[in-house]
Amino acid sequence: MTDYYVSYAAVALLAVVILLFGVGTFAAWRLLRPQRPNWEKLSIYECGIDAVGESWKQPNVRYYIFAFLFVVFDVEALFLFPWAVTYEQLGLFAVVEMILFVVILFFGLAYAWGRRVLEWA
Amino acid sequence: MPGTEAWTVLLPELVIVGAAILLLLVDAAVPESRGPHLAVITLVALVVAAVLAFDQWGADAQLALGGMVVSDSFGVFARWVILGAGALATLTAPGYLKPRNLDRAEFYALLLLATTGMTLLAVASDLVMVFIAIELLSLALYVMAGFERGRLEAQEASMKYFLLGAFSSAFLLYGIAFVFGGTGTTNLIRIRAIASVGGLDDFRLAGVAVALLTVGLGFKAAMVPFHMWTPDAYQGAPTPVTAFMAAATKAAAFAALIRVLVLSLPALRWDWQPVLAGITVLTIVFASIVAVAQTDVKRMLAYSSISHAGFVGIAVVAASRSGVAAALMYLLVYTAMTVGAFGSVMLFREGQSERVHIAKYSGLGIKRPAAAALFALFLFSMAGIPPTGGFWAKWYVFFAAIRADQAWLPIVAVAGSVIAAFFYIRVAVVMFMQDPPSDDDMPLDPSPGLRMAIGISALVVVGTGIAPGFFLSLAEKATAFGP
Repeated sequence: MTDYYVSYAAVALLAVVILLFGVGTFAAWRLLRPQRPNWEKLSIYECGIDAVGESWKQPNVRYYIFAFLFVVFDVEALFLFPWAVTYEQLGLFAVVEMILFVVILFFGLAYAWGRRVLEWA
Repeated sequence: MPGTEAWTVLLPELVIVGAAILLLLVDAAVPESRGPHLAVITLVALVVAAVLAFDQWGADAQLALGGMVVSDSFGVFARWVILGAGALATLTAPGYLKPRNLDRAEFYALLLLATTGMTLLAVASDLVMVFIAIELLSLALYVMAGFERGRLEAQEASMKYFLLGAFSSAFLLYGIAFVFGGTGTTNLIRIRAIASVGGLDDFRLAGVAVALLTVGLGFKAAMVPFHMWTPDAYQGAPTPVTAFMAAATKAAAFAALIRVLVLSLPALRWDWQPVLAGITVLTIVFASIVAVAQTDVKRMLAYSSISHAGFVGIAVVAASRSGVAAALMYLLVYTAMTVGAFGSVMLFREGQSERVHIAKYSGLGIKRPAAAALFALFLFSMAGIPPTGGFWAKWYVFFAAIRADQAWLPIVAVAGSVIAAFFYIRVAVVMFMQDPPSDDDMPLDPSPGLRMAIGISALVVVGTGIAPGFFLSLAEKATAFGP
């Protein structure tokens, strides 16, 4: 039974290594690098373009709909790929199941559409 | 695995989900379509589901869908209680939602989806299914609790329930992971088989696993000390939702608790029995004492529902056939009296809102004797006074505990119900023995559905009080669960 717990020692060891690596890297930087800050260097890096405004900005609440729809179709894709690989072995039952699944998701889209969620107004 | 193709086991759930989708599509196709037809579709779906579930009553238990669900009489009984609670809550809903401009199709769709989660929980025979079902019912209930989103209390109810609910889900999932670590399976039947031959004897984390599972399910059943969300959520949620949450969620959570602890982990009973016994005692005593201090009737009923969870918990601790039967019987009676009591709160109006402060109930029994008498009937049943179903429900629970050599539990529980009787009877005293104020004509809500729901609840409370043997024999038939 102790083997069982010992087998988890690797996980604990990995955690320690990760911690040491992170702290160690930052400490090494601090010791080795020259420190000559200026305005350009201290500004926020965002794809090379100057950042606009503060980071504490409230995103438009309407974005949550896009997040929802994205998750819905992401999950659909997640299920469709393994299904597409094996449906020949699974037979007609699997095809009907998947059609039902996609149709139910379509109902979700139809509901969102009907509620004018897809219009940006 | 036998019966893998038997998806017909889930026909009741499919009907309910179908109705929920239909409601959403109707809402999308005809915007602003409101009216009684939404409640009618919901009711029809729930009744059809109950009838379809009857097909599995008394038949041999069999696993289906790769062992994810099981069809047995226990599942049918639990489903009936849940579907009944859903139907009664649906009856009360239109009268409450319409004046507040909340009678949208989404409400009924969410109610149906929450019901689906609960009935799935009642038939789940795999820990993964238990988790998915709990998430389904929780997500729908979080939204329903905050349905009256203009009100600050509703937002508080929804937010609190959501945050603590997400937290408890993590506990449950962690517990499932530990059980899987110890047995290599999440299937409840296989876990029982492995544990019964000593497969978990060397697993030193078994106690941790059971503790985490108990926390996760105890949260949904609202047992002390996992009850913190309950009073605020019950107070802030729309009252039909409160009645539904209190009645149906508890039935579903206890069905899952019985399946997980009594059915699949009897080998670990020395781990979970003392813990659960402690929780039930704490639940009954704490909830009864705190309820005495409440002046808001909805909050008082919330604490009362917490204390009832303790009584059902005693039946689970008994971990015997008579214990399971007593738990089912208790849940049946509890559903009727909870919906009845919250329905009565909806019935007594004060202007456009409900009458929630206990001082406003003075003289209600003189001005509205029939309605007040029904409310008193539900309160007496909750207190466990003899001619009502509540008395017999408690009786069978105590009897099961004594037969399981846990006689100290009923002793503490009786002491708790003496405290509880005080605040139940206080409402009756305020209603019948105090003079009504002259400037208050105490209107009743005119909604026919609400009256019907209260009437049916009263019939069940009286029926279980007069013929408890009949209902107990049904519950006993439902105790042969799991293949």
